Amino acid sequence: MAKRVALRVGTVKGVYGFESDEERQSWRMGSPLLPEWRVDALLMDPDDPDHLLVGTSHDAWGATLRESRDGGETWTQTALRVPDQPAEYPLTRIWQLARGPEPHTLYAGVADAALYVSRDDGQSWKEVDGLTRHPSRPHWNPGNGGLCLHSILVDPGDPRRIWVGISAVGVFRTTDGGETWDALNEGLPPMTMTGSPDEDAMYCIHKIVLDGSNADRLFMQFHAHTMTPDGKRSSGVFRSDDGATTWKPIDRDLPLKFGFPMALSRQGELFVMPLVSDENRIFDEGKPTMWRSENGGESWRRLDADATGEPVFSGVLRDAMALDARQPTGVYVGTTGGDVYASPDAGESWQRLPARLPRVLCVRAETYD
Amino acid sequence: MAQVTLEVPRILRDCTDGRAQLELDADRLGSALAAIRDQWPVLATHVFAETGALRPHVLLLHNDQLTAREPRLDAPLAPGDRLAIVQAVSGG
Repeated sequence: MAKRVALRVGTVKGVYGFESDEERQSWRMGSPLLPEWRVDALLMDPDDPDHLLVGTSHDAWGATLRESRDGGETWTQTALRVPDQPAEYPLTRIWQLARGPEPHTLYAGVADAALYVSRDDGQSWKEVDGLTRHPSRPHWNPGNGGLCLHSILVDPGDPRRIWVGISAVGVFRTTDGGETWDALNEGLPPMTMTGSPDEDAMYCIHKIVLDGSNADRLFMQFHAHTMTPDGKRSSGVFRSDDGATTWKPIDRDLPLKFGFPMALSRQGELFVMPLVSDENRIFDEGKPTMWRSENGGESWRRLDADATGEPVFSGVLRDAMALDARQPTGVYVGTTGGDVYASPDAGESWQRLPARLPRVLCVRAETYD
Repeated sequence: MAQVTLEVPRILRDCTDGRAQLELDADRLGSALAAIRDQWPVLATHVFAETGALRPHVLLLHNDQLTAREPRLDAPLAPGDRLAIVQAVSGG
């Protein structure tokens, strides 16, 4: 049966959808959804193209989870936390939604940094408060985007083993389903500019991804900060081969180290999209450029995502890159300027989709029969 | 107990089954706010911060008059009084 690829793009003002056949050359845009709400997190259902979970927020009205089972025609709304539950920290945004390997299990990462779990497909939620009981919690400080829990990775073979990434704090891992957590940042350059005095909580990690076929292997896009007055910068892309216990840099061949998103395909292709620097968060020389590694970061290939020939002085945020599960891998990127770029061949060729959207916060892709 | 109305801004009407106006039984402002929490918990999530206070950019009007940032919970309500939740003008 012919397959189709669906793309969902979350922005500061709503969700936008595109669909294509499996060639991924010709994209059709759907109607805007939830245009009054900021959408930091999207979760598509691999079994149902009309089922969508969305983390919505608003500067005045706060954050809730919305779910549609009819492609966005109607929505139900769930609060992760209701006001009769006094809390030490505010819940301002839902940054990440993820499925766990156990049935009916979903995870949500929020700001201020906390992890929530649902065991009933998102109908009710409970904070995994072992994480926020970590002794370093009083020293967690926000990055520019807020104190966000932006990465949630669950070992497909052991659902009690979970990693989370928090900006500007670091990586935490539990092996007991969330009761206790270890801060795992060995090998990362300490960042005193986070303002945290705690060695367990001074790392501005931007994104982590897990190798689903080898859950001891993780990759990280790090902040890559300016370390010295003469502009020397830290490494920005790291790999762990021991379940995040230690990290080593893999960006020797990357001319730019600073960036936000990172994605790993089932075939092991690793994608990053660097920006100029922490002080200048735009594409270098107006060229949206992606780098791909097919050997775990040992070497990198430059891919120009410049689809139009026009200079592009925007950037890309941490969750605004997505891959599909086709071969060759489809790669999708949304920019802070509202452009969406799509590649049907692992980044070798690109097109800009025919729409200019609000600032893009997150992108997701799924393939359907 | 007095019956008062609460006007809901359009953006939050998916918390109230589409209703623009709710009827609450309350004889004090405090009991009206408690009724919102009890009967419309998702709406309350949007209106109240974790501290229990109104969110910083949310205003409460009583008969078209702005209430204090921390509304007097013992302020009396009369039958037919109108309350309204309004987003404060923020930004440009």
